[in-house]
Amino acid sequence: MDCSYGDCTMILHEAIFKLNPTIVTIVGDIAYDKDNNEVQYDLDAAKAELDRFNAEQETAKQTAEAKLAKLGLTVEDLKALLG
Amino acid sequence: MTQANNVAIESSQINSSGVLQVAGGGTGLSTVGTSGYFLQSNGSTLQYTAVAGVSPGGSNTYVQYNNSGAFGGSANFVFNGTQVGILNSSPSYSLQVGSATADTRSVFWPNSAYAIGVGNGASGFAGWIGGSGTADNMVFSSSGGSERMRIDSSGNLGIGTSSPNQRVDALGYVQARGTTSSYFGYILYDTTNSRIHGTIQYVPGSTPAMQIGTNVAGTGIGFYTGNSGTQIQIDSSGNLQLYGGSILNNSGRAMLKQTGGTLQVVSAYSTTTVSTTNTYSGAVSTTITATITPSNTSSKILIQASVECYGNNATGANLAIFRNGTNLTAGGQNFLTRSYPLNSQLAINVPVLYIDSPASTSAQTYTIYLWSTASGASATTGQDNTQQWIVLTEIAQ
Repeated sequence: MDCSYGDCTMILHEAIFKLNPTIVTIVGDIAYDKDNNEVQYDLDAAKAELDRFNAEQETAKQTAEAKLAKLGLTVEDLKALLG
Repeated sequence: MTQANNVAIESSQINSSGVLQVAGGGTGLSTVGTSGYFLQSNGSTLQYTAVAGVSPGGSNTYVQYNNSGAFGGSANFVFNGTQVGILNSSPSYSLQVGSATADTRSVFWPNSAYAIGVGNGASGFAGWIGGSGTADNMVFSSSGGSERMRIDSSGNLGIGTSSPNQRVDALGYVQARGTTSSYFGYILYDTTNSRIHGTIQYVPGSTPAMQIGTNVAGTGIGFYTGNSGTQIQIDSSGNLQLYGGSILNNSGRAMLKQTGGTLQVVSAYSTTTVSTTNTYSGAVSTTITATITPSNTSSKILIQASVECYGNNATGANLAIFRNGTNLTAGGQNFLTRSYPLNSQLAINVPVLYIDSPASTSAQTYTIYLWSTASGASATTGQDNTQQWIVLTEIAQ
């Protein structure tokens, strides 16, 4: 996941990859390892990780926007600055 | 002379012409006697003698014939004054042979070509029915004797020809006459299977139609020209094929083999989200796939697809078109590599276009494959379960 361009949202598959290092491919809801064997995983845990990450990112975003506001700046000002 | 009421004439007085001369210049007999009698000599005198053996034979209307020196008559040959009956004692027509219950075939044995002639109602001759010498043909004529129809010794019927070489052989048009409400035409009957194999028919009514068809499952209709084989084929599934120097198979509804023309189109879509952290060696199917069976080895296949891609970790996704599991791009390279929007984690719909030449008429499966540009980073298609499609178009060459 790369948040360098600003919009940093994790998708469910990324959360599954993060929690299950042996999984290399996911087709729909079915996951496979490097040998193409099906791998069982905890879907609820993955969803919780997704929610946690996105909430964390939202908090960080709000914090950043608050800091900008104290400086008299907006997100649009930053975009104009960074191009 | 003679006693009273009798006449005696010497035989020398009867002349050679048989005229009875009466002596003394008389003018003849004043009384000739009772009906049914005749004058007969008994060796010395002439006497009235009862007539014997002159009564007609058989019943009324029986035609008389010589029956061992006597008149004979039979119910097998009658004439009632206007009608003749042969083997029929009560004819209903001018000439009637036989009855409805008896085998009364007649034999005409003329030494000329025809046996039964029919007048034209005036002074001429309408036609005849007869044989044709030793060929054992039956010939039917009209117009005063011109042959019109023949059944030869093989049973072939010729109309307008004296040498039929098929079961029915007609010189000129053959017309099937119908009505305004009933089908009419020709039936092709399969005797082996006791079924109508096909028809050439006209269907009247409010939506009239000329139809050429087959009633047998699995049977198509072919149109031929010269000796070049099938030119147009409608197979048993209703697929139409036009042949233009090469043979097309039947995988399309209408297969017009015209260079650049579309022969068939196959499409499919997928809404499955697929992610992988594999690099090229572990490329995975996006489940965006479709199969087409080219009708000709020279055909081109145009692959069009729209894939929703999602890249990650500043690397992104790679896409490629695989045919039957093999990357179409030379050297096994990616068809589409990462692009700027992928790096920004924005899902985009990526158009995929490619022209392939499979050179085969076997089924070809085209699939969009996905892999990550960096090991450990994930690449995704169909992130939002949106519809991603693939269209395969066969183009004639």
